[in-house]
Amino acid sequence: MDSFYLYSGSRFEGKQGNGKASYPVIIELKTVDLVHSRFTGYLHISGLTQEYPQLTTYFDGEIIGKHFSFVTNKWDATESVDLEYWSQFPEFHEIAHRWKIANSDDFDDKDHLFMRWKEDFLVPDHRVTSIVGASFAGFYYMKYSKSNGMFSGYYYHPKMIDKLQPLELRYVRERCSATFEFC
Amino acid sequence: DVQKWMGGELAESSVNALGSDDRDQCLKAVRSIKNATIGSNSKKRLYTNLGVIPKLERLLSSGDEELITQVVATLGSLINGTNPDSLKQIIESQIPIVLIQLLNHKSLKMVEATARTLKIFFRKPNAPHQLIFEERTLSGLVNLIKYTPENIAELAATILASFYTSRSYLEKSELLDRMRTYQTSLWASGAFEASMKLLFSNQTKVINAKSQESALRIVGFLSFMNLDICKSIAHHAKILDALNKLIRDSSPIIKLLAASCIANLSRCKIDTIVPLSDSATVAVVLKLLHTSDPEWIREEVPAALAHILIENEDLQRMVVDSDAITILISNLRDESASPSLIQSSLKALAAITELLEDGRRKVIDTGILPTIASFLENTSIGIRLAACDCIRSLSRSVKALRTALVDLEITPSLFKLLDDESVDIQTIALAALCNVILDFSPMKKMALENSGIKLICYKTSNSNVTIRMNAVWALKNLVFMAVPELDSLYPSGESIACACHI
Repeated sequence: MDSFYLYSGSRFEGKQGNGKASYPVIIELKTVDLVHSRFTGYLHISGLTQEYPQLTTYFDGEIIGKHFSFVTNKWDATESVDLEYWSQFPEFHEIAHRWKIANSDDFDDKDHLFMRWKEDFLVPDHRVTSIVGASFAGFYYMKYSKSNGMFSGYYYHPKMIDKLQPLELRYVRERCSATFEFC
Repeated sequence: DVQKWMGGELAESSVNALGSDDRDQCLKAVRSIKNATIGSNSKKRLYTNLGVIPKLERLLSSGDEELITQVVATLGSLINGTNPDSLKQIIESQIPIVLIQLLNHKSLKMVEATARTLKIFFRKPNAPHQLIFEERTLSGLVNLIKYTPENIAELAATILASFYTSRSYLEKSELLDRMRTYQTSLWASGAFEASMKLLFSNQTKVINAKSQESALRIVGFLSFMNLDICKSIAHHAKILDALNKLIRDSSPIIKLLAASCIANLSRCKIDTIVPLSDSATVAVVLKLLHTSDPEWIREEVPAALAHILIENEDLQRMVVDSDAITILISNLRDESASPSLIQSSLKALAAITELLEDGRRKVIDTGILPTIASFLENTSIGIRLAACDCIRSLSRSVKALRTALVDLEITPSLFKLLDDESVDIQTIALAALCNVILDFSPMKKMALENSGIKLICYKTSNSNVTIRMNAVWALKNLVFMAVPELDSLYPSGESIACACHI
């Protein structure tokens, strides 16, 4: 049930930001490894900057539970930042009192999963390290709903003025699906 | 140079004397050639060029024990050098077969001399190791281990174990099948019981160490990925006790070989108490990575590690979290590293990065990739294969495909390897290409533009079943998330047609 919408090639579309400053986003998952609580994908965002009206980044996804803790402990995110962002999700409150020691059992019978998404490099040219007017140095705190394949979350960057930039995505239904395997 | 000229003349006359009817003159000539060539590569080359080898071969059938013993020792001297010509001539002659037959001789002195020469011979990677696995040869060697004095027993065991030591075995695919056949023959010959005898006998210290080493190599070879044999071995409580003791031995090589045996038994997951847990075994081997005494153990440890890690994610994790990667990378960067050390280290890296993304990223972050790519063109098959296997392991990462491997421009090298002389290399190169041509790989377009599809399709009708499978796998990955404009790169219907042929 967990993986119904999470598979290589699945697509989700939605937007990042609020009101006038909101941008269409599409993500495509590339590899999904629930055993190791990881997945990878591309994130396409439109209209963010003039130089890059279409911007695609590669990102790594970490699913909180067996292998990854709610405590980020990297990417300039302190525990207070963690708490501030995770607390944006109502579902987090059930587990807030023991958030530091949560493991996969806590999510087995729930409809949601918590994740972090970290963008790593630009696609197609991974050598570009910075873009004017956009940054992928931060990361996303995300929640995923197993029953309807919806993602919602917030982008965090330590130097950003516009904190708690929201991101919402829904699953895009396909008529057929593809599969691949690493050899 | 008068001395050189005199030496040349003397040599020629010695070689001529080998054909003499006068037995004493002949014997004198053989002795003189033997003494001249021991320790001198230039003399070995000189005599070989003067045609000494065919003449020595003829003398092997003289029936004269003393003469033959000297001839055998001389051949040992000629093999034991750096001159590839001497070795080549001997391999291409009947000498190996005749020597093996001489192991059955009633004179122990002859047997010992022959075994000594064969031990040197089979240490060479190019030697025809399959000769050892003829039934009569196997049983002959096993008898020598069981019934002759310790010095000859040790030599016989080492010859038997040299298939393992030659490192020509244990690559993927076809060789694994061949290995199974060899394991079966070896087991049937009683080599295991003979090895047990060596592990438990009271011998002089030096010989004991060498015998133990060979015995452990034999047991290690027998037990590698062979469930039936492991089950049989596990019944012998004595061997488990012995391994438990030997992994704590002071000799690094004994420790290493014992660890490999334990890991082999453990992998088969039989219901017997295996001496040491997997992680404890790996801990022993990881510690040995820091050993460089004797020097050649540096070459053995990474290869042993690679074998232990096969298909075991937990152990790979353990090694990724250690300093092993740092050591292996520095081996590859060591300018004085021997080909064996390079091959061994590459093998270990391929195994470490096989299953875990963290391992791949850690290796890539060291910047070693260009060095690994350069080994794809090495003259040694073993090195090319191990390097290709590394690339294949690393290509299982989306991130690597989009970053480090792109920078490497690896695709043309991989396509070139599809035509390598080694079938195993072709197989692994094709496997790496399977991943390279995935849609999210920027190398896909390049791969296809250069007649890539044609080449891959061609492989779908290859005689080797693994190659066929990998080729079809490649085509399957090709159509994953295929984008419309790629249709123009496909020859008309060819890809579908050849896929249908399977």
